[in-house]
Amino acid sequence: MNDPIIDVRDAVRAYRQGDVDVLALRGASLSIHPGEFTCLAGPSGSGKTTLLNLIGCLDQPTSGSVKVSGQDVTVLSRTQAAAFRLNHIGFVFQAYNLVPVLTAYENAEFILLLQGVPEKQRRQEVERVLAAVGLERERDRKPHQLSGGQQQRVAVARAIASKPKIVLADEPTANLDSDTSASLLDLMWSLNQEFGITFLLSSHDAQVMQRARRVVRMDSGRIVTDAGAAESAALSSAALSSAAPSPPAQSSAQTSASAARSSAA
Amino acid sequence: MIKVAWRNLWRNRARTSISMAAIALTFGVWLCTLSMNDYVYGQMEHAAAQHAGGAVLVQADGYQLRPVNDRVIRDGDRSFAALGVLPEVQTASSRVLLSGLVSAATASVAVQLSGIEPGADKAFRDLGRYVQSGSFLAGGDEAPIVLGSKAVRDLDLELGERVVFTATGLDGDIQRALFRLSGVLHTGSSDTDETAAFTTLAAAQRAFGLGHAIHQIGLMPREGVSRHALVESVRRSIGGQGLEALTWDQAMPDLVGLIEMDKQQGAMLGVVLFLVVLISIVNTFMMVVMERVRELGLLSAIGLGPGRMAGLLLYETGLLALISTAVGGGIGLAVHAYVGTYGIDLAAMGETIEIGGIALTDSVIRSKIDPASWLGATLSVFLMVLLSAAYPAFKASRLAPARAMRFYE
Repeated sequence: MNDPIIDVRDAVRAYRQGDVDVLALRGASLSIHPGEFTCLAGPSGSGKTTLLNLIGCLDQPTSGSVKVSGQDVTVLSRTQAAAFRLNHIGFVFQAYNLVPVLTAYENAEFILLLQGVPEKQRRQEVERVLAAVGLERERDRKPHQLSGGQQQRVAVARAIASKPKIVLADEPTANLDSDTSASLLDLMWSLNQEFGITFLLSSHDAQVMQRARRVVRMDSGRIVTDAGAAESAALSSAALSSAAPSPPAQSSAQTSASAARSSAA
Repeated sequence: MIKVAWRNLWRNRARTSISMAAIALTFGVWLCTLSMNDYVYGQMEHAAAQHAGGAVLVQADGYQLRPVNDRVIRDGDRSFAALGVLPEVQTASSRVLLSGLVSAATASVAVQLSGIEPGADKAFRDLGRYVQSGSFLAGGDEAPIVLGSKAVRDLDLELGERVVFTATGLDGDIQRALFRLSGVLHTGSSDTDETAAFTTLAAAQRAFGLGHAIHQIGLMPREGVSRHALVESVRRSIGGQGLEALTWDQAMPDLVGLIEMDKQQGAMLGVVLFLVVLISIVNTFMMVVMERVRELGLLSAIGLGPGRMAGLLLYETGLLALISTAVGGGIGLAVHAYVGTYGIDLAAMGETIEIGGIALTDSVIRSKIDPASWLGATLSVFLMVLLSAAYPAFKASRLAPARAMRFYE
């Protein structure tokens, strides 16, 4: 079995609220292997987003260790953390995912621009990921001209454009209707299956939990159950050996995206 | 990044347009003020050189520090002849300068009596055009005197009446001479109209027994020769003769100081004007950061580092400054074109421009572009606008992405 791509040990995160320390995480430990499709489940305030933020180098733990792709991310400076996020992690957030002044194409291109990818290669990559999420025809639309589902698809396209090993998605379906959620999950699942991208989603949406191979339940800042960990790791390890390095021009992800386009729109 | 900055700039068109208009108008007004001031200073220096009696002045050694009546160029004719043939000299004029008291039947006023050669002196300053009544040393009087309008009023004189001029002679004794009022000047400069008096060189020399002695030789350089080049040439020529040569600005340090102070005040006014505008721009950019805190958090989350984050806001400000200065420059050029062509006649408004007792000969204000001062103003504005975004940019770069994205929750 591969080394974990995400390794969190005894992570504690305390926030100061007035005179009181509030513990958002109370010693969470979690290992995720490359290619897993995992859901962090739990009610609001259970610590899902806090844990996701630590893994995504968006926040620092009060104590404990967080390793991503073998890198201890707790020792990174602001600038180093930004560079690490840029080059290793794709993000899909619940809302306000896109830069409002940029078109769908430009949003998907943005990370590649920051990475300094040459224009020709950028164009190829962006066209590829927009095709993968089924938004070729909406490429010139700005976020306010897209539906919620389409916006989330653009966010997924942006997240995978630079071919990160990990995509972190915080409540990606929270603002979507059931059909749109299903199509988005299909898309992410396909990307996971075909290209071996590790997906870690936080959600309390039953649909997400059903689609995840592994569900880690959290409550009051603690991981209370971790269903399917061993099986998920083994499956993802096997799947990785057969996964393509990047989404091809016509993939099942694209097919699923195309099929779901009407419901997403 | 420039594309994002550009589009961000136009997200709130009204706000951006107002900020831009404020910067552009302030900058435009500043440029107009600069170019009109530069014209006025140029005129002022010209007027000062005329008032001084030449771009370069030659006097007895020490006269500048202690301008007393007995400190003279003994052989004025020889010095005048030697300097008049220098290749850098366009025009030369000898003069006697006597500080004293003019007395009429009922009153006395302190004046400086200049004994001049009217024909030669006209090349330096055409005082004839200020004649209010009578003539400017044009008659055949043996001892004519031309006084300023205020002095004439104080002395309650009429043309043709006699006055006594009292001054210290070469031997240190008080001497008196009789003159007849032949003309009244009104220059608009209160100082000149009160304390200036003129007679012919011959009359002054005769009245005070000066012989060929004079107090000053005024020199004007040929076209293309600077006063500094002329004064160097003159100094070489007069070496060892007990004479001193000064440029007009060395001879009138107080006036130079006043002009410099006026320039500094103009610059300060410009800076203060801009600071007021910039405070509002800082406020605007702080609002921009606060409004977009979530979006900035998103950009940070997906990998935009602190430096690039600050850079994004600075790009926006840079573009704002670029457009504003271009528009402001356009306003400045348009006003320059108008004022340069038609001018603003202060006389029509009953105004005169006077610094240090010297009034401008031309009451029409025009505009003159000094590339250095325009460039300096443009760079200052650009820098100030960029500086105004420095704090908001710093705040943006310090945003913690996780907190920023939950800012409104």
